[in-house]
Amino acid sequence: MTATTTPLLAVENLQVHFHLAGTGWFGSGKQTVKAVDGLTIQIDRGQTLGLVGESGCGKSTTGRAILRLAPITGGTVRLNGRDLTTLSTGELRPIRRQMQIVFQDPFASLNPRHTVEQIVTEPLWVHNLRPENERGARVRELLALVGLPGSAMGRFPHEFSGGQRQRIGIARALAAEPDFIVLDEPVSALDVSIQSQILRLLLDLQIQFGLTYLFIAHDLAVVGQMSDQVAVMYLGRIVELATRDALYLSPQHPYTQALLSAVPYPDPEIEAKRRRVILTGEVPSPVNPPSGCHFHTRCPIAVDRCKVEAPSLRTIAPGHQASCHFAGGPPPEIHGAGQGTSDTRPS
Amino acid sequence: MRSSSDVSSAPVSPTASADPVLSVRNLRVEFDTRRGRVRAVDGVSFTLNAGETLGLVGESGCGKTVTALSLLRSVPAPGKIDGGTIEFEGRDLLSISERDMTRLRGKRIALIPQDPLTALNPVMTVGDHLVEVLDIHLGMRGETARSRAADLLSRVGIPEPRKRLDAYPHQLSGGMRQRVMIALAIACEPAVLIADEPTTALDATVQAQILELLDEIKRETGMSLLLITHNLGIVAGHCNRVAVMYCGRIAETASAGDLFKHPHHRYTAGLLACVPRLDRQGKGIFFTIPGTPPDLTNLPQGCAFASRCDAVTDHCLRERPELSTADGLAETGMSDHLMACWNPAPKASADAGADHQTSARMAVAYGRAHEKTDA
Repeated sequence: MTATTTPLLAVENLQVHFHLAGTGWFGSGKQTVKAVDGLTIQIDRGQTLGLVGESGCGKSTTGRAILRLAPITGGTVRLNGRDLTTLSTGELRPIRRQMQIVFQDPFASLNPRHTVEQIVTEPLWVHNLRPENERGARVRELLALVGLPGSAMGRFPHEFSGGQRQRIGIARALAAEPDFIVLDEPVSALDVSIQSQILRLLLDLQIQFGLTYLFIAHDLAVVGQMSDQVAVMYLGRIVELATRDALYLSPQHPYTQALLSAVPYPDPEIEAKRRRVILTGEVPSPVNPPSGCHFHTRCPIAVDRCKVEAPSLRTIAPGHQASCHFAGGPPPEIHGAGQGTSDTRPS
Repeated sequence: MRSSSDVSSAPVSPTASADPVLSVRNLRVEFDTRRGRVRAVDGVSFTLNAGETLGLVGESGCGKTVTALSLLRSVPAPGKIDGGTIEFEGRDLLSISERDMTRLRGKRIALIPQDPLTALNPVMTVGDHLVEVLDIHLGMRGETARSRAADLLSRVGIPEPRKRLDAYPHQLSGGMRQRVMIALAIACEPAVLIADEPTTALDATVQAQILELLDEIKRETGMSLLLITHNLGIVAGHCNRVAVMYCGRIAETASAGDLFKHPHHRYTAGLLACVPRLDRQGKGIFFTIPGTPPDLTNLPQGCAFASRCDAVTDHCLRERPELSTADGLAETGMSDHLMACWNPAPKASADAGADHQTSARMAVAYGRAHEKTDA
């Protein structure tokens, strides 16, 4: 992150605000969903940034906004130094080749009426890559890269398992020969054993082709296997950003600690003794976020100050930022939902 | 009763004992499909004791959901239960009348199916769903039923339960829907609750909440829980005993403590190594089981796992192993640890070196790992 060269992707103060139709006259009562509210990240070439958070935190919206698949209402997104937010559709088209996406749902993200060959050929056709008579061979090459046989070409998505469909989705993303790929929860819908296979594939491809990844997930254990840097999101904001090791060894934000706590450990003895941080309730609505620190309603260490004063994302240590009044200091007293296993009822 | 090494962390309710509540013997379910006959469940036996949680673990397609549906005699066509017995409350469920089965289904044995969104009727409110169950099984109507329904919603941790009675499924989050499914399942205080992948598609934090909720309910009511999952990680914190399934058969069964201490079947050891662990972490640290399960219409002659096993022997290719007590277990009295493997994994090394493979070495292993993806 302290590279002297320009990072491949530099996002600064990204905002994706949706304005909901208001009730009342003169447009009063308009509400805004701040899906992404001032996000800043940088990813160097060949590296992976893991973006973690619960449903609704804005991580998928972030991924899509970077690709300009969601409307950006503020901030800048620089790919290879070039600001994408100011480009017209026409100027954007050739740049789209450089950035691709693999979606979460292997069932919904492939057109069921297209053969595998058609699906993987489409990027070649859209971006005019390879002469037409060479495209078949190129598709075979791509399928081989993701571990699928040539016989898959004439088949339809429904004939494949979830893991295999994800491989097709990856082959499609690679077809454009991108620099940057957004992986939007690529393995959440797969069995644990298949998850490992797909993650290993993605990592191998990264090494082989020097790819840069934004890896979006809700599971910190999975993210830890793939990332160089990790950003934890809550209600549209980053609450902690650190190198992979720093985050796992020394998490500063209580939400990060809760997420780590939720990762099951495959050993009954250790599970029994573990001190868990179990959050009460669910994520508040992004239309009406809590005052002060957005997290205070579920936080085991929140005090009065937290309800009033929103903390800012500040540097705790080199390469480690956190947005909590207690971060970087001695561990504070845990009260409420923090000690051991706790009441699971939503507050 | 249990071996002294049973250190499972799962809370065992005060009424837990060695008394079997549900006893499945040699269950067989066949599907007659266009491509051939599929033995989805091929001679499965297990016991669920009072107050305990049994984890039924395996990859997609191994037959665990069909097994669960068999317990309710709800296997969809073209599936057919064609063998075995299911002992429950003094009767064999496979030989009672459909009318008697209807009285049990949802009342004495309840199921939380896999996907809460599709399991709930989109044009019925949460209240409608609950009242329907209470009416059919307990004869409750009107305000009595609504009141009980609100109590159930409160029990599963849904705030403002009275208001929620009038909500439609699409108005609830995934975690809330799962809680509604749990409320429906416990409405009649069943003796056995089957949870089919209760945490898939939920956020990790909500998964933890849901699993804790099930544990709590179990402690309070003394019911037994059959927890079906593909993730050995959640089994460690919530199951007393575990049965691992592969290709329609049980590969290994043991107390949770024994299974995690020393998985015998190579498949179990592999599954365990696949679970991402926070203490053995780093970019590129993975373990994979290469390939995918074989086509059930075309099973190989010997062990069904042979093509994916890195310790396969000639015996494995020739003869399919049956469940037996693993060697060396008899001495320590761990006789309830069974496995079906000719060349079981030795202790400790089951996970020591296997998952520290860096990506750099994967070029060679990768070729092998993915040549069999097209099952």
